[in-house]
Order: sequence, then C-alpha cells, then structure tokens
Amino acid sequence: MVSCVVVGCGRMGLSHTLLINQFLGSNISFDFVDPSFLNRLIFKCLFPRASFHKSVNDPLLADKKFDFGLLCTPPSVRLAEFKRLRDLCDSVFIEKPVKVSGLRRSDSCGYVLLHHPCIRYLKKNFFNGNVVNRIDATVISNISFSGKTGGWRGYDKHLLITEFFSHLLSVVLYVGFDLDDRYEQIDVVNIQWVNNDNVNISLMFGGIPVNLSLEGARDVRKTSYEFSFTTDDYVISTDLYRIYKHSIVGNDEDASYVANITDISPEIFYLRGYEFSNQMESFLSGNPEQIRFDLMSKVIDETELKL
Amino acid sequence: MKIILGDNPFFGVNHAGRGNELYQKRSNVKAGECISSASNNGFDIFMLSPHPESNEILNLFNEFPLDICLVWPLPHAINTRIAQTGYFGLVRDYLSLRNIYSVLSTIFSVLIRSKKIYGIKRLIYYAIKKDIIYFRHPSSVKYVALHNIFTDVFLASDRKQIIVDFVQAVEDAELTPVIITQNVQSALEVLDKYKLTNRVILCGSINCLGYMMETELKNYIQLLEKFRSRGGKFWGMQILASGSSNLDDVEKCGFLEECDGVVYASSKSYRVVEFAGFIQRHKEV
Repeated sequence: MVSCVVVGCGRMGLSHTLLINQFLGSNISFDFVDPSFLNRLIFKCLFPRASFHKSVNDPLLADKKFDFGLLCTPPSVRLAEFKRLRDLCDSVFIEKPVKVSGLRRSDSCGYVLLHHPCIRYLKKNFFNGNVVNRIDATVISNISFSGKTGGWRGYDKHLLITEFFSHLLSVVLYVGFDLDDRYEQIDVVNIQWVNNDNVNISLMFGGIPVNLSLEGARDVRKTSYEFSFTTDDYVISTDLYRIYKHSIVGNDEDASYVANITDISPEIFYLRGYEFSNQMESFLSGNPEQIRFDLMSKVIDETELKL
Repeated sequence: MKIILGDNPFFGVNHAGRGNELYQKRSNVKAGECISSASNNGFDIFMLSPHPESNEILNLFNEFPLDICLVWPLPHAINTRIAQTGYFGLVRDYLSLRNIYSVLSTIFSVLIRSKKIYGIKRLIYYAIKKDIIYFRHPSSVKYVALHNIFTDVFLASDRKQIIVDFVQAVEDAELTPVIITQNVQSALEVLDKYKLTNRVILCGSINCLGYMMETELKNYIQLLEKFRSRGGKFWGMQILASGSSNLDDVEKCGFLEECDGVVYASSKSYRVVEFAGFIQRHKEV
C-alpha cells in the first residue's frame, strides 16, 4: 500500500490528488490537510475513506511516514510547510515554488508547462545546445487581476509575479538557458506595470533579451500562453497547440500540431491535458525534471527590487 | 448518425497566440450564421455551455432551429470565479445569494422543487433546472451533458456514484443524460458497473492519432463495439485531433462506424457546411 499526504485541498490539490489516485489505483491511502472546513468537506465527498487534518502540525501526523507528499497550499505558507513535509515524506511535490532550498532529487516542482508536449518538443528538437538570441513569453488570461479578489488571492505585484511570471520563467529557463552558467548574469532592464492586467518585464540573461508579458481580462476561454524563441536563422513560437518555425532570411514556414508531436502513451488518464498527466508520471518516477531554481529566485528577487 | 455543433469557438479561443487568426473579438452574429448554416445542412443538436453570454447567441433566434444539449456545469467560469472571489464567492454568486431573502428563496427552491429525489441528486436537479430556465429557449433543451472535466474528476475519485446521481437527476428532469469524457475506457467500466449502458449517451475523444485518448484507437473500437452491441450510444468528439487530421483521414480510420453522433465545432460557416457534406456522403456510402 502506498501512502500519500496532500497539504492544501484547493483546485490544484484536487487535480494532483485525482491523478495520483488514478495512476496508483486502489493501492493508495490518503491523508488530507487543510484548515478550511469547506475544502475538507469537498475532499471528504470524493475520498470518503481518507484521513483529514487541519494542520501539518497535527499530532496524529507526527508518527506517520508517507511515500508521497503533495504540497498545494497558497504561496505565502508553502516554504514553511515544505520543510515539515520533507521530514514526513520520501518524495514531495511542491506546487510552483519560487524560492526554495533543500530539494532532494526525488522532489518535484509544479511547473506544469515543462511537461507540455510542445515545450518538451522545443527543448529536444530545437534548443538542445543551440544558442537563443531573444525570448518573448506572454500569458493571456480571461481573468482580470485588477478588481477585488477573494480567497487567498489578493493580486498584489508579488503574487502576480509568483503566479504567472514564474510559469513563463520556468519555460524560459528550461528551454533557453537551463544548466548553462553563461546566463547567470541577470539584469532587470525595464518594468512597465500599467495596471495588474497589463504588465511587461524586460530582462537580460547574460546579454540575451527576455521579454515577459501578462495580458489579463482578455477574450479567451482560459489562460493561454505564447512563447517565441529567436535563433540566428529562425523564430520558433508556440501557443501550446501548434509550433511555428519561421525562417528569418527566407519566407519558409512550418507548423506542427500538438497531436502530431505528442508521444502517445498506450494507457494514460487525462485530467486537464497531457501536461498534468505527464507531470504526475514524472513525479512518481522518482527522477523528475528539474530547472535552475537558484536562477528563478534571482530573477524574482531582482524584479521585486526594481518594483 | 446525429451531427452536433459545438459552441467552444463562439465564446473565446483556447489558444490565443498572435499567429492565430481567431485572436480577435468574438462575434455573436457569426455564431448565429454558423448555427443557421448547421441547421440548414443537416446538423441536429447544438452543444451549449451555460456561459454568461449564451443568451446573446440564443436571442438571435425567435425559434431555435436545433435541439440543445446543455453541457453542465461550466468549469472555466467556475475556475475564473474561484480565482477571482474564492470558494465562498463562487457559492454566493452561483446561488445568487445577495441578501437574506435570496438565501431563504434558494433554500426553499432546493427543498421544495423536487419531491422525488434527495441528497446530491436533488442538488444536481436543482442546479440543472436553474441553468435551463435561464436560457432563452428552455424547451429546446433535450439533452444534458456532464462536462468532461467533472466526469473525469469523478472517474478518478473514489465517488463514481456521483455519475449515477447525475444520470438520475437528468432523467427526473425528463431529459436525456450525456456523459462527456476524455477517458472513454474508464467511463465504460463505470457505466457497465452501475448498469447505465442503456440509459446514457457516452461522448468522448476519438481520432486517428490517439490524441487525448486513454488508449489506442483499435482498443477503443473494440470497446465501443461491445458497448454498442449492448444498446449503448456513443458520440465522437475531437475527431480531427485539434486540427491535426483531415476528413479523409477520418474516413480511412474507420471509427465513424462506432459513432452514433459526431461533434464538430467551428466559427466559420463554410467549414460547418463542408463537414455536414462529409457526414452526408459517409452516410450514403
């Protein structure tokens, strides 16, 4: 029997729990931790046999040992709970940790776009060893971040950076600059914060320009992304449905659809698309994808200093 | 074979890259033209989610020309609402709880409207009825489909019984239940276990490339043959694999034989007409 503790019973906690439950079938037992009665009630409806706790410091958890831990709490409390969960679990999955230390090889970080077929394809086929001259990354959302918010989300500048720019940065680091020391010199060149729905941040990674943008309150069904990588010969871009390859010198252009480049697994359960299933498979493998979190922290620190 | 028009392109796009010609303001007039073209060319059903803007499209018609399949509930709106206002904001807005009178009214409605069903079933029944009444053409709603995100949440949880509750609630509303999923294999197991095979229409991804399919196509076809031989009905969706396949591929792959309906979505009238012609030719062959 595999044991799993889930800390944070919100939307992300639910998504990851359902996937791990489906992957490991009837051989898994759950403990859920959340201070909210409503959240625990929702999870109780879906997992009636599980154990429930209000806090990771619940004495009932003290003597337990878990194979897996899923940490899906709000960003403000994530780091403190990670330290506690690391003691309780062999492997911990942390939802989007911007600044984290003490990760073990078996721990995994919830940057789901790293597991998207288009991003994996870009990494493998275009940029493994090739030089990128410029990167543009945009998140486009139907949500407005300018109005009054509820729950734990209050859309101050720090939270917007944590929630959205960290996704963009994860892909930039993974595809463009991962594991290359040349790009450790990071400068925040310019920040245009028109309002919370219209933000542009210009960075330099070792002299390579990187432009990150947030466009909120747009006419899209759900949050979408666009990434564009420029090399000497091509501009390669993706909206996570297609990959476009435009020649800079000529007029030729290729487009690959995501269905054509996706490695179809013979048996896989889908919840919120390939990337979420791939991410959970990667975590359960014990050898998950990693990126340079030290660079991520450095960018976030530098950006917040300039705000 | 039923031809079903999907509504996704009418309510904003999934992928908003600047290279995407859809990256523009949505047009209710174009949506209305598509629906008229679909109706005039043999489409049977319009799959419609309870978007806040749904009535803007329905208002274009004095009498709606297609049967409506309500896709319920709408996860993107719920997701957005939770992100903007939290869980309590979602409950408050969804049940229209503005003051003490509206709270009492909602409690009264949930308790009194249906005397036959209880618990989760009653809540589902109440919520579906609430969404249907909101529509401009409530009498056109003939089917209610459980959105794939919710189906797949229940399939992956330890409470698959909620799918049965949904089916019973829709049947109590004297409508036909549809279960949408991207995990057809898992759904078929649940339908079989709870003896729902003859009571629902299953709607799932099927295409030549195996895109968003839980297992490969030849396994799907075998599973569907068995399901349909016991009276089950299947509607295929994503048959063009998000644009990666073409209609010739679809014909060659042979999965249309296992479909009692196919879902097609486009914001362009000429594509709707082209697809209707393809299905017509397939039926004749």
